[in-house]
Parts: sequence; C-alpha cells; structure tokens
Amino acid sequence: MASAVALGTPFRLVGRPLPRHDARDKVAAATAYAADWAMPGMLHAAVLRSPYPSARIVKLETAGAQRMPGVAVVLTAKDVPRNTLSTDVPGQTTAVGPLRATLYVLALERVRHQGEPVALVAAETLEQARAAAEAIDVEYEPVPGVFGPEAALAPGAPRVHEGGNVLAEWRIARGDLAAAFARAAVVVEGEYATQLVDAASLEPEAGVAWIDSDGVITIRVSTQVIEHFRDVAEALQVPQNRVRVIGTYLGGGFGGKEDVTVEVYLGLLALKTGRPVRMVWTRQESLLARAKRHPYRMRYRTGALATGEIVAQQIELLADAGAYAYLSALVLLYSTVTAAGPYRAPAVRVEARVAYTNNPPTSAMRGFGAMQTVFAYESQIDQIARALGLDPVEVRGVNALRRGDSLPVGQVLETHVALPELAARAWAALGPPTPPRAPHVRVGRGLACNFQPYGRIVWLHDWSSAWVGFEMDGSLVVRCGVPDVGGGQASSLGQIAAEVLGVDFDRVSLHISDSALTPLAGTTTASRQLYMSGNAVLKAARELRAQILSVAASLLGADPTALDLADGDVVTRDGRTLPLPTVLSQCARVGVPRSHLAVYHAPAGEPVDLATGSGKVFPDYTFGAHAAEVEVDTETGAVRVLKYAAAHDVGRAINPQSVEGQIQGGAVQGLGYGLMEEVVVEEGVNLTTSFASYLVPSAADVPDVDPIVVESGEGLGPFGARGIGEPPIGPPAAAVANAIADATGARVTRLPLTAERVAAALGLLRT
Amino acid sequence: MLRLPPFTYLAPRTVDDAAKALASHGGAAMLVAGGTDLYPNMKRRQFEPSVLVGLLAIRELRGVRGGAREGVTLGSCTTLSAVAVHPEIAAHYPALATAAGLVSSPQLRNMGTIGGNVCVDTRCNYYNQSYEWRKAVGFCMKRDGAICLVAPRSPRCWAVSSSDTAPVLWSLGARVRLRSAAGERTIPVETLFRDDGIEYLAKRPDEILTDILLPPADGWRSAYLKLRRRGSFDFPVLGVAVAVQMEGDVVRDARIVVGAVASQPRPAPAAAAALVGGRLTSELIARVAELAAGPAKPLDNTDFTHPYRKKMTRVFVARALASLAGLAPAGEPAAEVA
Ligand SMILES: Cc1cc2nc3c(=O)[nH]c(=O)nc-3n(C[C@H](O)[C@H](O)[C@H](O)COP(=O)(O)OP(=O)(O)OC[C@H]3O[C@@H](n4cnc5c(N)ncnc54)[C@H](O)[C@@H]3O)c2cc1C
Ligand code: SF4
Repeated sequence: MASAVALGTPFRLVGRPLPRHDARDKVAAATAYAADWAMPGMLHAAVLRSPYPSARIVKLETAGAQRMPGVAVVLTAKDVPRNTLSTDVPGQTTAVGPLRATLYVLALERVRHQGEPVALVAAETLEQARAAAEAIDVEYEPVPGVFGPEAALAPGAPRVHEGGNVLAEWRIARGDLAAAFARAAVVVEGEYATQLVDAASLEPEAGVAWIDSDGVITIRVSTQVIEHFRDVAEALQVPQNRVRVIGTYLGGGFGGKEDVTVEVYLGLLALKTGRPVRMVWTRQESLLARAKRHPYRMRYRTGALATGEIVAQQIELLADAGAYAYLSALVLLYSTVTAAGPYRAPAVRVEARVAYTNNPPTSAMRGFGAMQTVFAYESQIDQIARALGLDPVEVRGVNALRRGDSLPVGQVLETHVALPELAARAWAALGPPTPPRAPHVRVGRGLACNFQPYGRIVWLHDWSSAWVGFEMDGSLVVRCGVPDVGGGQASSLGQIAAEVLGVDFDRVSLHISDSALTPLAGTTTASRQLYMSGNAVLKAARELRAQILSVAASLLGADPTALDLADGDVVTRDGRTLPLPTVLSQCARVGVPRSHLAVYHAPAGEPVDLATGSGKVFPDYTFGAHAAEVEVDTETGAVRVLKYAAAHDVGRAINPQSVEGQIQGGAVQGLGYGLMEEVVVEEGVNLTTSFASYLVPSAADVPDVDPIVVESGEGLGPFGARGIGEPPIGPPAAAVANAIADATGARVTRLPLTAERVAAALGLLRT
Repeated sequence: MLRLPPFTYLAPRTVDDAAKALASHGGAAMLVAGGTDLYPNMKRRQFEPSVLVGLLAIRELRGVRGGAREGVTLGSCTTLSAVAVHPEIAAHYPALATAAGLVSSPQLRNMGTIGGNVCVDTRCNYYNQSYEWRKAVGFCMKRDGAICLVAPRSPRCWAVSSSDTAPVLWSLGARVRLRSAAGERTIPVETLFRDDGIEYLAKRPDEILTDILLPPADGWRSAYLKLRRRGSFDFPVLGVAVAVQMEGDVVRDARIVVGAVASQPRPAPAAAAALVGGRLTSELIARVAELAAGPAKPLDNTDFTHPYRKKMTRVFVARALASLAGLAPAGEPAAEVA
C-alpha cells in the first residue's frame, strides 16, 4: 500500500490506545452533562406540543396558564422576534418545490406534525411548568394530511407547504444505460424499504441558558454544533456576538443534535425572564418529535456480465422528509452520490426525490443518506454473486473502485481504495463455520461493503481552527471549538498536540466547544472532526513547535532542525537536554509567542451538476466491509447474530481504542437498525414514544464485534487519518440480510429484519 | 424524565397493619410491592393514588417455605430473582423458575416481586403511553376515556395480560391466599383472573395477595417458553406454559396455559386433554400444538401481528412439549425472538 506519511515514522503517542482524558469522569458519574447544570434562581421550562399531525390552530389563549402558580412566562409564536426562519435548499430550483425552505421556532397558525412545538412555559418548578403548558387553551381544526412520500407525490395530495410536496430532487446520468443492460448476462431487480429510526442517544436534548454578567445570552447545551449561536441570534434578533453557546460533553448525538434543539427556546426564555432557565426534553418528547432518520423506498435494477462485472445500475430513490426540510436535501445528495455503491459501473442512472409529509421531520443521522443505500446496493450485488455462482468476496473484488476511478457523479478517487482487502479480511475473521445447534436452525454468512464520505461537501468551503499554547511550566493548553459527542473527539486532538510537542498526554489541558472562548471548529458531524480539527491542531502544534525550537536553537547554539521535543524537554541529537520552562522563559524575554492559532481549510470546490457528472462532491471517502454469521430459526423466523467482523481503512488510527469504539458502536447501532429499531407512525401518529416500544438492542442481543483496523495512511486527516465516526453504521443491515439469504434462501427487502418478516419470507405465515 | 405525581407512602410492618391502612383509605390507596410496574404507570398518570401502602417492609411476605413433597409456599413479596434461583423451585417447578428469570431485566427482577407479577397491569399499545400522548390521541376506556381505540365498537377493553408467571402458576395448579381487614380466603389462581382488560383481577382492591401455594410436585414436569423481540427487557408477546404429570412414559394429566394473548391467561383444555393417556411422541405433540393454537385469539394491540403470534403458539407449544419429552435439543430452555 502506498502511503502519504512513511508508516515507519516512530510516533510517541499517535497510534497508542491511550485512555481518554474524559473516560474516568464519565465512569465515575462526575461529568456535568447538560441536564446536570443548575444555577441559583433557575426556572424550569416545558414545551407544549401539537397533538395533531396536521391541523390549523384556531385558538391559542395563554392568559389562564400565565396566571398559574409559579409561572414566569408563557410564549407563543407571536412572542418570538423572528419566528420564521428560512434556509436554502441546496442545488434546487423553483421548479422543484420551494427554493427556500421555511421553519418556525413555534407553530404559527398551522401544525404539520405530531409533537410540533406550539408554546413555551418557564416556571419555578418543572411540575408548575408542565401544569401550565397543559393549561394553555388551544383549539385545533384538523386538516387532511399526507403520510407517506408516495401519497405526497400523488396528484391532488394535500400540500404540506406552499409550493408543493417535492422538497428536493437529484439526478445522475452516466453512460448508455440501454446498451449496458443489453450486454448484461444477468439482471437483478429489487425494491427495498428502510424505516424511520431515532438517534436514541442516552442523553436527551437538554440545556441551561442565562444572561451572563456582561449581558451575553449564554446557553450551555448538549449540541453537535455550537455555531447555532447564530441561529439563536437570528431568532432573538440580537447581534451574533451577544449569544454564546457552551457545548457540554454529549451523552450521544448521532446526528440528533445537529439541528437546533433546545437552544433557541432557552435563549428566548432567558431573554424574556432575565433568569437562568433549564429545559430537558423527556424521552417521550424526544422520541415523539425530534428529527429522525429518513425512511427510503429504493428501486434497483442492476446488470452484470458473466464475470460478475457490474455494467449498469438503474436506481430510483424516494425519501420521506417529514414536515420540515431541515437537512433533507443534503441527505438525499449523499444517497444519490453513493447509490451505486463502492463499485465500478459504466452506466448509471439515479433519480432521487425527497418529499414533505405530515410525519415526524427527518434530518441528519449517523450515515446521513449514505447508509440507507447500502442495504439496497449490497443486497443487489449479493444476488448477482448468487446468480452467477461467485464467491461474495470475489464479486466485490471484481467490481471494487480503485484509485483513479471516477464515481458516477464524476468525482475521481484520489486516495487508496482498500475494499478487496477489507472484504477478504472481514470474511476470513468469521473463522470456521458454526454448526447449527438444532434441526430447525440454519446458519449462514453475509458480507456487505460500503463507502461513506468524510468531511463536508467541497462547495461548503469547510474550515476549522485551533489554538495550542504552552504555559510557563511546560504544560500544554489546546483550545478548539470541537463538540465532543462521546467519540473521543477532544482526546484525539490532545494526543496529536502532545505528539508534536513532545509532552505527556496528561500534561495537556483541553478546552473545547465554547463559541466565545474557543476558536470555532465547525460541526461534529459528517465524520469530519478528526479530519478537520485534527489538521487544525496539527498545524497549530507544528507552528508552535517551530517557534519553540527556533528559540531553543539560539540558546543551544544549534540548528533548529537538529532539535526535538521529547518528555517535556528540548533535546539535541548528541543527547543534551534543555528543560522546556527555560526555553519558554526565553520566548517571553525575546517576544516569541508561546502559542499558535491555526486555521485549516479543506480543499474547496464549486457546486457540480450531478447529472452531467462534472466533478468533486466530497473531500474523500472511508471504505469498509462487514461480515456476519447468523442463525435463523426456520420455525419462528428469529435471527441471532453469532459472529461479526467489521473492517475499515481508517487511514491512520490516532487512538486505536477510540477507533475500535467507533467501529463497535457503529456496528451495534447498525445491527439495531437492521434487526429491530423502528419508529412506527400511523397516519402521522407516533406509536413508539418510549423505550418499551422503540426497541434498541440490549447487551443480550448483540454479538462481540471484531474490529479490524486497516491503516493505509492515505486519508486527508492528520498523519493520513480518515473519518470513522459514521462509516461503521452502514453495512450491518445488509450483512445480516445477506446472511439470512445464505442460510435460508429467503431474501428480506424491508427493514428491520424482524422475526415476523423473516417468517413471512420463509413462507411460514401462509395459511 | 417523567415524574411521579405526589403521594403519601406508608410502610406497615405487618399484613394486618397493611390491611387496616388499605381499609381506612378506601379507594384513594393502592398497594405497591417492588413498584416496577406501578411507578412507571403512575408516571404516565394511569394511576394517581394519594396513598401508597408499601409491602416491602413486611417480613412475613418474603421467602419460600416448604418443599416439593408437601408443596411450596411463596411469600408474595419474594423477588423474582429469588424465585428464579431457588433450588427447590428450579428442580421441581422449573417452568416457574424459568418464567421468573425471563421477566424484564436483572435490575427489575431484583426489585419486582412474584405477587406484583401476578397482579401486573394489562397492556396495550394505546395505553402504555405517556399522559400527553394519550391525551393527544384521545383517551380510551381503560383510563380517562370512554371508547376502545383498538376495537371502537367494543363495549369492553382488550388490554393484554402480560405476566410471565401467571400462566405458569395456572398450569402448575397454584392457589393464592388473599387477606383483607375483613378476613382471609385461598382460591385457585385461575379464579383470580378475569377476561377484562380493565377489571383483570377478580379480587377486591382491599385484598392483599399474601402467599402463592404450589401443590406437591408429584411427578409433574413443566416448561415455559416466551416470545419477545429482545433477549432482555421485553414483556412477553406470547408465553406458553405446559405442565404434564407422567406415569412411566404415559401422560396422566396435563395443563397448557397461554399467556399474553388475551386479557387473562388462556388455558387450552382440549389440547391438554388430548395428551392424557398418550405418549409424548412427535406425532402427538404436533396434534396437541395444533389444538392449543386454536383458542388463542390475539388482538393487534401489542407487538407483532396476531397471525404471527397464533402461528408461534403452535411452534412454542410443540417445543415446550418436546422439551418435556426429552425430544428437544439441549440448551434451549426459552425460545426468544429477536
Ligand atoms: C421495562 C420493564 C419491563 C418489564 N418486563 C416484564 C416482563 O417481561 N414480564 C412481566 O411479567 N413483567 C414485566 N414488567 C412488569 C413488572 O416489572 C413485573 O411484572 C414485576 O413482577 C412487578 O412486580 P412489582 O413487585 O414491582 O409490582 P408493583 O409495581 O409493586 O405492583 C404491580 C401491581 O400489583 C399490585 N400488587 C403488588 N403486590 C401486590 C400484592 N401483594 N397484593 C395485591 N396487589 C399487589 C400493585 O398494586 C400494582 O397494581 C416489566 C416492567 C418494566 C418497567
Ligand atoms: S384495548 Fe382498547 S380500551 Fe383497552 S387499553 Fe387498548 S385501546 Fe384502551
């Protein structure tokens, strides 16, 4: 494997599975999560939500609630300085729905999904706030809604927003499809359905806001995006520099805290009351109303030669945006670009649409549109292999993209693609087959590969910044606006700085996620933080290192390039050492800064026309391959995953413990998605608003996940790292579906792969 | 997080004091044992008692007495964890140990009691929801409303009996002792249940379930199989309890009781009768399983659709019987579905 950084470079800390700096506090329950914060005189807030998925608000009377005991304030849409927020729907024209999508802080005259926020209350106690919210006098007049994307696109369907129900549309057209199908020895057709799911992070949406002594509206909140201080400022109509967001360590985000959650409400309530206010959504609220993962309907037609080589892919995608746009257009873009999988295909047609409905809104969730498609394209390639009698590893090897290939959208892959190696290693890791433990049990194996962009779309001109500085005693400070969602984002930055500056990891203090006091680093989304902020920290640390070494060189009368920083000292090649504090004092005397602020700009590009296949969309991709061995009970349809291996080319594992954690966690979350998780919505009514009905896997339901970390050194991140936050959630559902097909011959094309669905596919439910 | 409504908690030390407290507060008071069922329900405002009479401080309600030869008595406040590992129960009433060990999760089994499990509230997709949700969708007759949302024209509630141990106790021929300020009575466990989702217990609210009495083991073998999605936490969507009394290799007596398909555990007497006098061959088992699936008429108000649950009734009865006959493969005491 070629590598950008010589793999032989001896690292001091990079590549070592150091315990994270935040781990001990979390285990000891000492971490102050967003909901743990309390302040003197603090009020408690509650949200009144719409009971109806589609209705007009004909009366909204708050005077009674306002007079209830303990109530400080009751707010509705008319109290919000700017209640209507507009966002661009990227890449779309007015021909496709509205060019700008509208969001409301609080519902104004109309509610479009069950659970939509209608009013806010702040009171002395939580009970008083909830009682007052219930006492608000609202009258609704239900109006007809639409409850699925097909229904939404049907002629005459009720409109969710003015301008029609098509929210966004993307197309790719490469090669001569008809000619390519004509060459195919085998054509596989399939229709796949994925379900609505919830991020289900353990920590709900929560935060506390107050007006600080300097008059700044300060919001301490669980968020993946501290830059939402700008959205708060817009809604409150105050200057952006009068709002500060302090991000806490998160008890999970998974995309569910990428959009604004509680922060605008908190800012409003603090501004109106002048008092600290806390808002914590209940699990029920969170499951009911916060944005979820898009369900997809996917129609695939794939043609391959007798060698297994795919020559044609015809793909139609239809996604459900729910009632508001949020990030749906971008999610769909990810699906469109990845729809044909990490495989070569000379002729590809993708037609993708996402429609408004009166279902719960959908938006970002780990995998962001690039994961729903995995279920479809991996089910397809598996059927091609079966039809042609090819081995699952072989068929992927035949088709795998290689460096220099271009995706259907026209983007040329500039880094190594480890797919064949990943597939072979994951498959081999399953070891000898497990014999079925009973006559009614069959055992089978499945493989699934994926690729997931890391880093933001190139035309969003992404950047991150970080500050690294020494204190006089040689201890190190890193400041970076990175939200740590639990993936070890902050710790890895500390490890990089300590590596470059030759100090022990426990000599580093990390200050993160504060929009006023830490350099902005952008969102902890899109598997981008190690890549972006890792590069910013690396750049800052390297500059700082040069500054320190130049001063040390003058003290030692040596050439700076002959010096190193190690164990808190400056060391020369011939073994002399100079204590760092001595050098730092000298820096102060001669006026050389002991810190450096660096900005890292990702390679940028112009928007591409997908249809003509004109170029780059994402900075780069992370590739993966997962293998599952499952047993299927042929009398009940029950599926148990016996063994699981997950391989990813992470470029470079800065902290292997964190990397393995991402791989294992992602695989388990993907297995939950594949096997059981589903938000059940009937006519817009969410039936799964507690963890008794929204089922996430328990420890008893998941196998050990064997993480296989491959390091090509080819990523765009620090030391050649790639993003690994999202990629591992992609393959599990497809790997299990393929294993079920291997075990029984039955193919289930609808997620989740419940016992009942498998039983139906096995023909057990025919009477 | 949802919060409990305010209430007064009483912690009597004797059954007599508990019975008196209950009588003196009338309808305003409720009993609570481990609280693993009642407290979540209170948080959802399905019950708002102003007084709770806690039973956990009452010594006489805890523990297992007797043995397989003369019969075993379980104090109603014995925890499910204790029941699951009790050697006499595991050896001679294995279905009960299995069922107790399959309730929810280890933490809840450490708190939850066998008495509370027998009296556990019935369940329904439209009922096991927060207050706000139920208010939004419209209350049903089980609490705060007038109609049934599952069967709108129905005069009754179809919420589902979801206790793991209830069908087992029924199949074992257990009796229960009830005490109140007015006196004491001991009744067969099957007469404790009623086929109504709201009034699912045929006992007065002031009666305390003090003991569960198991008859002598006397050649009975038993098994319990539970259908649920996950390997932990979930209530049964189907529970199959079978008990057979053997004489050599011939069945002398048998009971089959199916849980989680109706508002009370549902016996399958015709299926059980078909076993009597026969040998537990695969053919007989298949025939009996078919018969047992007959009476199960699950409604679509819990997990999985009813055709699937009905099909599974047949599979589970067959498996349970096969395990008693020694025909089942080893290592499969409880089928679970993910
Ligand atoms: C997440 C979760 C999962 C669960 N899963 C299961 C499951 O899989 N299977 C299952 O069967 N149950 C399950 N349960 C319900 C419950 O945990 C068990 O049924 C438990 O055994 C109840 O016992 P308890 O002592 O906690 O009852 P409590 O909550 O104290 O009481 C339950 C009811 O019984 C009444 N009661 C209690 N003791 C007596 C008594 N001695 N005399 C008269 N009335 C009494 C109470 O008034 C109340 O109405 C689950 C609960 C939760 C929260
Ligand atoms: S069966 Fe009907 S009445 Fe009973 S809880 Fe369900 S909806 Fe309510």
